[in-house]
Amino acid sequence: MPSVIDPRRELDYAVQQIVQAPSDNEYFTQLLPAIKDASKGGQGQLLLQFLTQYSANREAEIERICNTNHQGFVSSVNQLLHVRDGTIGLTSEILALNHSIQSSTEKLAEQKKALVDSRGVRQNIDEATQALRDCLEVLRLANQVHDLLSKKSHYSALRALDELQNIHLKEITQYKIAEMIQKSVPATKKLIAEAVMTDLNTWLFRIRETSHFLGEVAFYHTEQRRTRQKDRAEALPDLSNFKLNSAIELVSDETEEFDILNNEDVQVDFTPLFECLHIHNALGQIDKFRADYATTRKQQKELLMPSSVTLIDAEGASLSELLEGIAGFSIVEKATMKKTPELRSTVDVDELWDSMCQTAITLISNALHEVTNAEVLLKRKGVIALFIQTMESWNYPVAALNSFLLKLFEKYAELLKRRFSDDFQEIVSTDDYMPMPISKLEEYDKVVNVIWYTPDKPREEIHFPCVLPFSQMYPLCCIDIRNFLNQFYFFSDDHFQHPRVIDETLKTSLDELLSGSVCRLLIERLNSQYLGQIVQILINLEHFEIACHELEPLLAAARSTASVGGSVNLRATENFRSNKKTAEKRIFELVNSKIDDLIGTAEYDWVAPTLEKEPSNYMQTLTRYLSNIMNSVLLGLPTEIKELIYFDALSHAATMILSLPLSAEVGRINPNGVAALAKDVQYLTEFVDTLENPILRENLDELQQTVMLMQAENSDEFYDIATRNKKYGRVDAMNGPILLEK
Amino acid sequence: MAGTRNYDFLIKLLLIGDSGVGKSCCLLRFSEDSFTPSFITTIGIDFKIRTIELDGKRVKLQIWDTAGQERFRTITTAYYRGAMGILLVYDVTDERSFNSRIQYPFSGKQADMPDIRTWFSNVEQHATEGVNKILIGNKCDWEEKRVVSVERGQQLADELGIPFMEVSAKSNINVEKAFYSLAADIKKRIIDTSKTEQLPAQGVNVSEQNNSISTMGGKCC
Repeated sequence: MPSVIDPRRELDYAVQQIVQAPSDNEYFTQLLPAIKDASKGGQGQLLLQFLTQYSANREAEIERICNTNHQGFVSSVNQLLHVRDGTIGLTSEILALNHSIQSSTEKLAEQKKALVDSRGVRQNIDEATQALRDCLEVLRLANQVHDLLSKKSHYSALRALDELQNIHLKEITQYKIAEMIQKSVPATKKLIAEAVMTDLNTWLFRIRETSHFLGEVAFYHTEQRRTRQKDRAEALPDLSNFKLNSAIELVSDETEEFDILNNEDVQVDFTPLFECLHIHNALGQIDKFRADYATTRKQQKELLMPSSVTLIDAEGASLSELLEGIAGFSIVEKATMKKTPELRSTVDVDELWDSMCQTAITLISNALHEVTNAEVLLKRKGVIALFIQTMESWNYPVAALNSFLLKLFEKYAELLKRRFSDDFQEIVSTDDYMPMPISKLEEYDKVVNVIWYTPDKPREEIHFPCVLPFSQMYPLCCIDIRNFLNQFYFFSDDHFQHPRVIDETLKTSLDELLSGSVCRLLIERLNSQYLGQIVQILINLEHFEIACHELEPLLAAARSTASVGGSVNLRATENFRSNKKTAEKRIFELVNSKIDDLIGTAEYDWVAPTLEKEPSNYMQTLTRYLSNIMNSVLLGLPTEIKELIYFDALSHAATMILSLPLSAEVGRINPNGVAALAKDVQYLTEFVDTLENPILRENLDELQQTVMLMQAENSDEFYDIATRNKKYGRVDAMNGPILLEK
Repeated sequence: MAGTRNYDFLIKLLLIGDSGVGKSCCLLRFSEDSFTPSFITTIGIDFKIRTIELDGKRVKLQIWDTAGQERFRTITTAYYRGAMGILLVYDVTDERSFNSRIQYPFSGKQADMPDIRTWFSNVEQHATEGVNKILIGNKCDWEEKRVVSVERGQQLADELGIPFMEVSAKSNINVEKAFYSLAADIKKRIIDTSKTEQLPAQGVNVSEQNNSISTMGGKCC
């Protein structure tokens, strides 16, 4: 215990400690316990004393120090005061500075924030820009598709569209535009397809327009081939056996290069078709396209076929147009098939071809009735043949057309027959039925060259003017027959596959013409009352028979090599021959009727009172008439027919004369009557003798013997068989007694 | 008794004239009442018979048709004599057949182209004297082609002192009349005149008359 020790000293120490405390805290820390201790020990008065003492000491020390350093102190205090002022200024300055710094930082932060914000916007803008760019690219491509389309680069357009769809569009799937474009793709594809179809249709239309011309060129080409083949055949006859389109002809003609589809006259460019096909292929619509194309072609085919054709227009344009159209169309078809096998099937092409052939055949058949001229028909046939040959060279089946030519030929034959039948009718009806007069050698040669006739004399020995035995109808008919033959064979020129039909039809037609027209017309003319005409008909018949004989081998020779040989027999030959008999009979009939007429004017007075000195007037007329006709009208007949006629005429005359006394109306005959008859018979006999033909005399035997019997003194001789056979062998057993009776 | 005949008289007629004037056609028209448009030349001689009735008598006409062509002249001339009547035929559309001298005064071929005067003088030369004649102008239907007028025909007939008639074989104009009139004239000239001289019984009379005619013809031949 301090108090125990010295309380004074301890206090002093505590005050010492307090005052010397280095800091306020320690000051307080020293002070507080000191106060506390002092309060406890009742020494507060003391402490306070110490502290006051310490302060009074200090004061006293300070005053002593200060007394000596007063001056310096005051100045230090001043200085201190001054420093303190400076420090305060500085502090406020620092504070201001701090404040200003603080405010500037705030601005910065603000700016920094703006910066960050704008950076974000910028990025957004960048991203948007990129998206737009991408989309624009796609749009550009999409537009490019349309551009290409408008530039007709359909395939490029399609490719671009594909690229767009498969590559570019994928890149922008997140955008709506992609969806839109995606949606528009099928429409665009359709646009492309439509565009190519339009192109194709234009092409098809152009093809349709060139079809006719193409056909025309093809026909011309075939004609050229025909000409070349003909020329070759002339140079080398063996080649003539080979027809157009035969292997030999095709090989021979190989040197002639000619592309029907691409030449100076006509060019057919298949590019649009290829493109269209390609595109549809790309579009995967090949089947549809094939079907569309087939339909279009079918429609075109329908358009190609007119509702009717005419065969009688001047140039045959109607038929040519039809066939050229078909040819052009079909050639394009074949070419298409060859170039694009996947597009056109053989079935389609053949079907169209068959249909066109059938239509053409029907059209021509329907128009056939208007043709009345064989030449016109022949010309039309030429066009059809050209068509057949052209199409055959394109490997089209032409069997139907070939058969149709047969029908055409039938019509041709019919027309020819009709025309020649008319001609013959005209010739026969306008003939003068007189032997044909020839005034000059040239005329003679001209006639003899066309007829079938063997002159009796060589031409050098003929004196002009002369007459040929036949009338002019014969040479006229011969010319016609030759023309008829030639014109028949004209049909087989160029192209006709049924040569046998021609041969057969020709034979039949000629036969019918000769028998049905010439022969029949001549026979009809036999009704004529004119002996001269009938005699001429007989002579003409004879010459026609000769002509027929000559025609038969001619027809056989003219037969086409392809057909079977053998001889040709015309029924007309027999017809002419047998009808010569008809004419002969008609001559007999006419001459006999004249004889009847003349004997009908016999005026015997069977009981005449006087003896007649002269032969009867009728007998003189009769003999003169017979002599006259023998020297004129009958003169031209062939000898054997002439003799037959004489024979028949005289035997008829004898019979008729004999019938005069036999007539029931004659009751009695006196010797004067018998004498008159005997005189006439004698006169007739003398006349027959002048004819210098013993056979003719025999005709009069019965008449002579009967008259002898009538004159006989002893009529009993007739009843004596021996004498009768000797003298009256020819007297009729019944007539004899009747006359004797009278 | 001569009872076989189907006629009372026989009259022989003769047709002459140029080739093509229509003699045969006239005859065909008269004998058969038909016509043929085609040209048929008579060769040499031909005849037709037709029996007609005149004054109640059956008259048989034996009509001889001659070839107009020159080359048959020898044959045809022989028939002039037997003829009792002659028809001189020309073509009213063909001047030459009527009067070749006027048409072709300087033609050297005149002899080859006889006209009616030539034919008439032939008749005078070769036929029986007094033979009946008639001038016939055929084809009178063909007016547009006519070159010989009726007056000229009549004038010539008057000049020659013979009857005249225009006919058409084609249109059957006057053909019948021409033959009948000629036949009637002949009958009058020959038969009726001889009849007045003697008047025997009918049947015999007829036959005798005919005989006389025939004899006459026979004498001419």
